[in-house]
Amino acid sequence: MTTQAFLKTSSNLALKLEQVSKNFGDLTVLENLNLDIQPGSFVAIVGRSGCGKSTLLRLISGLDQPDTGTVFYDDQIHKRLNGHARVMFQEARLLPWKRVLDNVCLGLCKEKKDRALEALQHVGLESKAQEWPSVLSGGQRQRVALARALVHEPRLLLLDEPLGALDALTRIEMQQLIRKNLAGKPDSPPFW
Amino acid sequence: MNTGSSLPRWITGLTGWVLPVFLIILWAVATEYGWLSSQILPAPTDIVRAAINLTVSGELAKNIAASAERAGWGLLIGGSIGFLLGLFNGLFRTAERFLDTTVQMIRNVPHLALIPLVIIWFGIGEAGKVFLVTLGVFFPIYANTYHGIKTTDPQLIEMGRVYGLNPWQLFSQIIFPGALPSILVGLRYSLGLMWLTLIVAETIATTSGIGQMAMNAREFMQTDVVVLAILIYALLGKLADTAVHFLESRILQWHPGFRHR
Repeated sequence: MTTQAFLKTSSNLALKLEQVSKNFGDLTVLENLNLDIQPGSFVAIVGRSGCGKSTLLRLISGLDQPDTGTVFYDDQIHKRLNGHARVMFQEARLLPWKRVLDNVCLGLCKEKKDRALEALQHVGLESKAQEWPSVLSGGQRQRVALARALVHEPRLLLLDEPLGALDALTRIEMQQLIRKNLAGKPDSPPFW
Repeated sequence: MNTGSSLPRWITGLTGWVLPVFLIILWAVATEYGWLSSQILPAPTDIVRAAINLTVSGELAKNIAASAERAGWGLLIGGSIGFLLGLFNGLFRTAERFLDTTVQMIRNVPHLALIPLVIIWFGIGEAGKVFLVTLGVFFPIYANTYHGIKTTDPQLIEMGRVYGLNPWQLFSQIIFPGALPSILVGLRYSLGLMWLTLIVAETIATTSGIGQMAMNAREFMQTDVVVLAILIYALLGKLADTAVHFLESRILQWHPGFRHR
C-alpha cells in the first residue's frame, strides 16, 4: 500500500540535499540522495510503507541527522531544529489539556490568536474552537493539526504521512484540504 | 463504560452513604435489643451524646484543631519535598541515579520502628509528630510525581520541540500538565496515609489531639469516646478524599475519565 508525504517550501526557501545517506544498523534506508527543491514548491512523496519517507522528512526537518551528506536551507547548512521547519505527523499529537484553539496557536498564543481562529476556519472547524481534543474524531484532530501547522507560516512545512491513520473517505477530504491550503488551486490561494 | 444513570446528580451522590447508614441502623437496633453489650460497643445514641458533650465543652474542637494542625504541617512539608524531589528525579537522569536508591531505602522503614528514635531526637513535643507525618506523606507524592513525569508522551515532546517551544514551555505546557493526573493520585494516597500516620504519631505522649482524647478515654473506660475518635478519623479521611476529588474534577476537566457531562 502506498502512502503519501508532502513537503512545501515557502517562496523564500530553497531546499537542497547533497549525498544524504541514513542507515539504521545494517539497514540502509537512504543512499546518496540528491534533491533540489525550488522556493514555493509543493511536493508529494509517494512510496510503499517503510520506504524511507518519514526518515527523509525527519532528516530535512532536523529531528534526525544524516549519516553522510548535508542538508541545505538556502545554501546554509542545516543540522538541528532551528525553527524554520514545521512537521505535521501521522498522529495529530494535540495536547489533550488545551482547548482546540489553544492547540492551534501553540507557542504563539499571545500574538496569533486571531490567526489561529482564521486557520480553524480554513479547515472548517471554527465551531470546535473551545472544545477539548478528546471529543474530536480522528479526522477532525488531523484537521486541527493542519491548522496548527498553517498558523506558524513556516518556511518549510513537512507533512509526514498525515493521511495514514484516517479512513478512506476522510483521507480524500483531508487531501483536498491540504491541496487547497498549501498547493493553492486557482480559485483559492494558499493560506500563506 | 458506565455513562451514568438518568437520576439527578444529588441522588447518585448519596448512594455511597446507603451502606454506612444501613450499618448504623443495624448497630442501633443490636444495642437496643441487647444483642450487643454496651461494654463491647456502645449504642450510637451514646456516641452522639458524647459528641455533644465534648462539643459543648469545647474539647472536641480543640482536639480536632490540634490534630489537624499537625497533619497540615506534615502534609505541607512532606508533600513539598516529595513533589520537588519527584520533579527533580523525573526530569534529570543524573539526579535520579544519585537519589532514588536512598529514597527507596527510607520508604521501607516502618513508622512504628522509628518511634523510639523520634522520641530521642525530637522529644515528646510537636516536632516529632510532624516529622512522622512528613515521612508518611512524602513517599506517595514522590513516587507518583516521578511516575507522572517519566511517563510523559515522547511524541508530544517531539511535537513541542518542532513547534519551537523552549525548555520551560516544554515543561509547563507539556510535561507538567501531563503528569498532573498521577500527581493527584499521589496526593490522594498521601492524604490517606497522613491520617494513619497521625494516629501512630499521637500515641507518643500528647496533651492534645484526637489520639490523646482517645487514650484518655481508654484510661477511664469511656468506650463511647474511643469509638467517637475512630469515627472522627474516618470522617476526616473521607473529607480529605472529597477535597481531592473536587480538585481533580476542576483541574482534570480535559480528561475523558473525569468529566461529568
